[in-house]
Amino acid sequence: MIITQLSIDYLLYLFIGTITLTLVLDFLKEKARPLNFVLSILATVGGIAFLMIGVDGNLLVLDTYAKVFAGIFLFSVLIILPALYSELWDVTRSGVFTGLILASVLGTIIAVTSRNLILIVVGWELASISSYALVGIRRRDKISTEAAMKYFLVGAVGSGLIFFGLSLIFGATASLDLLKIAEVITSGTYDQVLARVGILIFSAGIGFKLAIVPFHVWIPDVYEGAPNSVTSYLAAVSKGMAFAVAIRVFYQAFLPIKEFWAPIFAILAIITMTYGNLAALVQEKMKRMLAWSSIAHAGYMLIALGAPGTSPVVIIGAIFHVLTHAFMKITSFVAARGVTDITGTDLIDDYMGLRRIAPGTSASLTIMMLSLAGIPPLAGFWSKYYIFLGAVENGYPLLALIGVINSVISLFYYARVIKNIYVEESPKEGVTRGIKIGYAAPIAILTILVLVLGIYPTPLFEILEKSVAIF
Amino acid sequence: MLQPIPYELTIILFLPILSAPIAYLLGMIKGRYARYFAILVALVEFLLTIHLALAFDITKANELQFVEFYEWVPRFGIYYLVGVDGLSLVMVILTSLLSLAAVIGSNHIEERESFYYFLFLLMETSIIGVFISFNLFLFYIFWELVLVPMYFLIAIWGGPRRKYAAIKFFIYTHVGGVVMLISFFYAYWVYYLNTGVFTFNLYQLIGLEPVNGTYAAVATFLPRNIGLILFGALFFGFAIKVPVVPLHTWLPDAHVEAPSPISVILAGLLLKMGGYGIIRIAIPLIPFAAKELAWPITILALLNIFYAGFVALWQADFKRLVAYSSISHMGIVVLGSIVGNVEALTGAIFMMFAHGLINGLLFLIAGVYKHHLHTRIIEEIGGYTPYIPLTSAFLVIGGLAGLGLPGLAAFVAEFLTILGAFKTWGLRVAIVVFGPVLSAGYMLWAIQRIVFGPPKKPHGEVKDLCLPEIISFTILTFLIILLGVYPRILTDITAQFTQFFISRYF
Repeated sequence: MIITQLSIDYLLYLFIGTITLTLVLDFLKEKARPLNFVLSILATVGGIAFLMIGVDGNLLVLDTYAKVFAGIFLFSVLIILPALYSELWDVTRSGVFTGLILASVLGTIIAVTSRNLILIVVGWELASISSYALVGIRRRDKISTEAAMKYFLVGAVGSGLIFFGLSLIFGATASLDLLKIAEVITSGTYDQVLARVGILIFSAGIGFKLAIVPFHVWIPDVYEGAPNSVTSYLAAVSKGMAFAVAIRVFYQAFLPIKEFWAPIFAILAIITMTYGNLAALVQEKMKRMLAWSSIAHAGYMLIALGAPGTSPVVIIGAIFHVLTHAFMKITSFVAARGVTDITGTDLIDDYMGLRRIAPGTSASLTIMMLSLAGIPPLAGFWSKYYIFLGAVENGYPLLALIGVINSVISLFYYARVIKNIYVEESPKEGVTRGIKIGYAAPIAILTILVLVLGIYPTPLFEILEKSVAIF
Repeated sequence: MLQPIPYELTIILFLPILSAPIAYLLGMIKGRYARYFAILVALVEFLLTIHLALAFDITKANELQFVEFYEWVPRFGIYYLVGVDGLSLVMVILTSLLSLAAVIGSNHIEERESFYYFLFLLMETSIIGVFISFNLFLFYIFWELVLVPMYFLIAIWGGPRRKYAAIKFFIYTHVGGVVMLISFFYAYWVYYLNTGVFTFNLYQLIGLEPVNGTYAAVATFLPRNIGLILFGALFFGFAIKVPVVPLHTWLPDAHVEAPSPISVILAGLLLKMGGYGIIRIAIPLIPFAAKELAWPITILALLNIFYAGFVALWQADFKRLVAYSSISHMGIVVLGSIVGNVEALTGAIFMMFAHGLINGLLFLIAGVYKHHLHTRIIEEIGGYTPYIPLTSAFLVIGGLAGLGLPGLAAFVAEFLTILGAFKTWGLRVAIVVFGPVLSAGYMLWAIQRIVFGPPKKPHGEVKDLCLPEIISFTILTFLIILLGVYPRILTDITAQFTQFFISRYF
């Protein structure tokens, strides 16, 4: 039989097959690492190819929106894999973490490619449970295991809230399909109070993963405790999934009652970005600073939920920001790992004089910090700019103004890193030492991408414009 | 008139930034190579702008020439739109000229040369970009891009308090930039609401270019109070850069701590970005607010002239004195741009150019003192004239030009501006004639103490100017005298522009 149309369902088989294969290889042969590395790279590349030619399956819906997010996730994992292998080469068997990260990204893909609430939850759980284990992969490291435990507990509470919220929504609307829920809500024949309580609880559950402020307390500890490549995975993919699901659920199912949830998210967005930025100002450690900056960026993305309206630019901007934030955070965390290899610590003050020891990493980090702060013309600037512009177009200028002010504040903690690298002199003598190729390659690729997207963002914008046409 | 080279402005704009990595790599081989290469680039850039000036049609100086237009993010009205008119041309020439003088005068930079020249070339592109962008968004990008190299240049190669000065400079100008950006957004938004078109193109926003066949200006869509607020916000953003007096405190620190060639760029070009912004964007965008606020701004300008002049009187550090004289002179620019007649505006533009030359020279001289005598305190550098005759000679010329001696460049500017101010405000601004008197006070006093003080015997060997310094000083001095004697070189370029500007906006 010739398969004329590749259903997206086959992606599941591809990933499950690869995961099994890597585990088996790992068991059979002690030195299977290089082979597993190649296999995992092939699986992600294959996944990206699937997205390009695949069509809707029985279970999963491959619309452009899903394609864009799944593409972002797979590409991020593809970039992270070399760093993951470099970092965990001697820590544990390669089959374990390869299997976990592939399982996790598979979960995120399921979550973004489905319109059914049950499937969304299944994907969400698969992604989450695998990432708990990834965080604690360094079993003998106390900080790491503590982080994993904390992440697991918080994540379990978040999942519980999501389940509970969705069951209330199901109770109110008697439907699991997002489009049917939208129909029911538009017709008005549903239990309004129950549905609203359900939405609130569901939002809280999503808020844990998305790092919205009252639910953010786990972020700095977990980000600090996890291996850097895993942290970059959490910041890029895990958070991206939460955001993708939130946008799809709220825009596809609950859009008719946006007067109810939009103000809540608007206020949460303001609190999240302001609190994240202020807390980041006083951090001494690079990873914690990046963690708080990640919270602040969640606030910017949340504007997309706080400012719904006729113009889709705000959603486009937020999706763009998921992408650029992923690129910037992966680079920063991986570079931070490379620097920690050199200096032995994670303190921002130990970045002094880094330019002499690692010139390439210094240049990349500088570009990333500027991009995170939103300095034009870098990729991070455009995505933020689209979000703010979209908010204005939908009639929320205040939200955009607070975002701009926050951007200005954020510049100071990012600039501190740059200042330490280029202006301050290191108290210690250092010779130029490169960082591992597994770190250098992702950094280099993403730096180039951030520059290219910064200079010419229009094509990407057009793709994203198509992806939000479903709302 | 020469034929324009195709893509001439784009070449001028991107030549330095594209050369910057090459300069860096050459500097990795040997530090000096970066310097020679940067001088070469600055020279080519200067020749290109001279060519640009010769190919420029003076009879149409109020129109944009050498226009290049490409789509960048058309969905949001962001285009790559560059061009020059009379005002821009003057500023571009000033930029390439001062960059050349400063890069030649950078001979004392011996540490991390490759990075220094890399940043220097990056900065030259961004400054030129500010002066030739006619899309507000592009303008903003270049405006912000200036900050990054400038921050490093002050923070790495500056004096003892360089880190503090650099961060202060950065915060001040960045805040100004953000306020400016928000104002741009507002104008852009109002324009969209009324015309249905997203555009950041300045000439469309001010109604000089049609959108869908009709001319529409932002100002006509604004109620009076909103217009005043918007103008105030724009003026605030630019006033930080000028600087206008209550917002000036970053300047003395930044100028004093920066290495001398960078002080030249700061005083000669970065301050001009503020003045240029007021003339190019703030006034045309909301002319009615400019007219209404002309008197308060005139008072601010007078405050600038006198406050900074008095503060300059009691400065012990020569470089600080020059820095305050800068603020004082920039008061003239603000005054000239707001009073609303051709003479004053011509004076303001003339002052921007003349001040760039004069203060550039004075800052370079301050650098010579620092490097050869190891101090800039006026009392300590006095009395060495017999050992450094050339430096003293240039100091006298620069100082006299700074106080507005007839026959030297600043006089023309001050004369025209004061004339224009009288035409509009009459005797209410009579006090302004004491501005030049005040500058004569601090400048002559300083010259007297430095050049004519009782001779001292130096402790070690004291060297006079070396060849690169003589070259750059001579270029600047020559132009100061030339413009003082024959100001038409400059006023002819701007004549059409100023007349058009005044008749349209005032």
